[in-house]
Amino acid sequence: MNGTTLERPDVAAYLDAVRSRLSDLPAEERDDLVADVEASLLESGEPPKLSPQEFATELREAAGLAPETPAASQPSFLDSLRTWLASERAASLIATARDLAPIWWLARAYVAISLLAIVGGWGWPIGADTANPISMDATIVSFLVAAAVSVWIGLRGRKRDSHRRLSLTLNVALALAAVPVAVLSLDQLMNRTGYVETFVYAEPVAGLAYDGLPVHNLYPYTREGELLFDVLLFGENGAPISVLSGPDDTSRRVLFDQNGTALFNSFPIRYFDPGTRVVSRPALGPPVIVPDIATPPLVPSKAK
Amino acid sequence: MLAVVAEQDGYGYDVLRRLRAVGLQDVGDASVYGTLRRLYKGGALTSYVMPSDEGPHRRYYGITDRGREQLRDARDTWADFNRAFSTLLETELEVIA
Repeated sequence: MNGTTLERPDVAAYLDAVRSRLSDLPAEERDDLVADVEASLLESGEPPKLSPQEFATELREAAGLAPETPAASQPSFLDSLRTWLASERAASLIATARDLAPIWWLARAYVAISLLAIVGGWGWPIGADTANPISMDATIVSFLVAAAVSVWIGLRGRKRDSHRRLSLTLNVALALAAVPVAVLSLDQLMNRTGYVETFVYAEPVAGLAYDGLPVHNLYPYTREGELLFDVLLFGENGAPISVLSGPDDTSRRVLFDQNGTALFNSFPIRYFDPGTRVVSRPALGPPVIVPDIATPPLVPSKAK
Repeated sequence: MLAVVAEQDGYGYDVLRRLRAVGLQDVGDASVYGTLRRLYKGGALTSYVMPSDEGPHRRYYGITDRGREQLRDARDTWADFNRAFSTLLETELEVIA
C-alpha cells in the first residue's frame, strides 16, 4: 500500500510514538531514522509487528546508538497517548469515527450558522430576536448552505490535510459552542411553542372579547352598587356593541324599538324561564364587589 | 547488507525485501533501517533521495569504496570461517563414520 501518512493515521500515530522514543537524539538524526521507517511502512502496507517501544529499541541497537535515556524511557502522557493511538483498537475507533464524520459535518454546520445568526443579531431561528416574524425559509436555506460548505470542507480535508491544525482548532471550538447553541435552541423551541398557543387564543372572535377571550354578557352597575337593566351600549363611533343570538336562541329576552327592530346591544342579556316569557330573577348576576367610590359623581349639565 | 547494496542501490524497504528474498525471513525491519544508518554514518554507504510517485521520497543507499573494502574483508572472514567449520565438520563425519 502506498500514499502518505495523512491517508494512514495509524502509521502516523505509530511513527509519532517511535519518534517520542527517540526524543533524546539530535533532531536531524531522529528525523532521518523516522523518514526511512515512514517510507517503508507505507510501502509494505503491513502493520508493524513490534510495538513502537520495541521498534525504537531495535532501531537504536542496529544503528549503534546509545540506549534510551531514563528521561526518554519514562513515557509522558503524550507518549502514552501516541502509543495508544498506534494500537489496533485506536485504529479501529479512528476508522469508525471517520465513517461517522459526515454526521459531525452536519452538526457543526448547524452550530456554525446558528452561532453566526445569534452573533449577527438575527436570532436563531432567524428572526427570533427581531420584530420580524421568524423566517423558517431563511433558517432552512442558511442551514443548507452551511451544510454544503461543511461537507465540502470535510471531503476536501480527507484528500488534503494542509490545514490540519486549523481544522482541528475550528472543530474543537464548534464542539464547545454546540452546548450553548443546543441550550438556546431548546429555549427557542419552548418559547416558540408558547407563541403558537398565544396566537391561537388571540385569534379574533365574533362578538365581544376581553383579553382575547369571548365575553357573552355584561353587567353594568351604578356607583352605589345597583345592577342596571336594559343598558344600551355603543362604541366610540356610535355603532351598537351587539352580541347577536343564534337562530335557535329563542329564550333570550331581546328588546325591540318602535319599528320592531331587534336591539342586540342591551345588557345584561336576560333569558326567559323555560316555557314562559317571564324573567323571574332579573337581578341575577355574577358575584361582584362594587368598591366605595371616593370620586365625586359627575353632574350632567342642563340643556339650555 | 553491504552485499545487497553492492549489487544494486536500494532504499530501506527494498533492501529488506531483497534480504528476505534470499531466505532471511526473520530479519527485522528496525534492524535493517538501523544498520543502514550505521553503515552510512560509518562511511560504508552513501545516500541520496529520490522522489516517488507512490508516496514519500525514498532514501537510496549505495556502497562506497570504504564499504567495498569492508565487504571484501567480511567475505574473506566469512570464507575463512566457512572453510574452518567445513574442515571441522568433515573431520567429525569421518570420525563418526
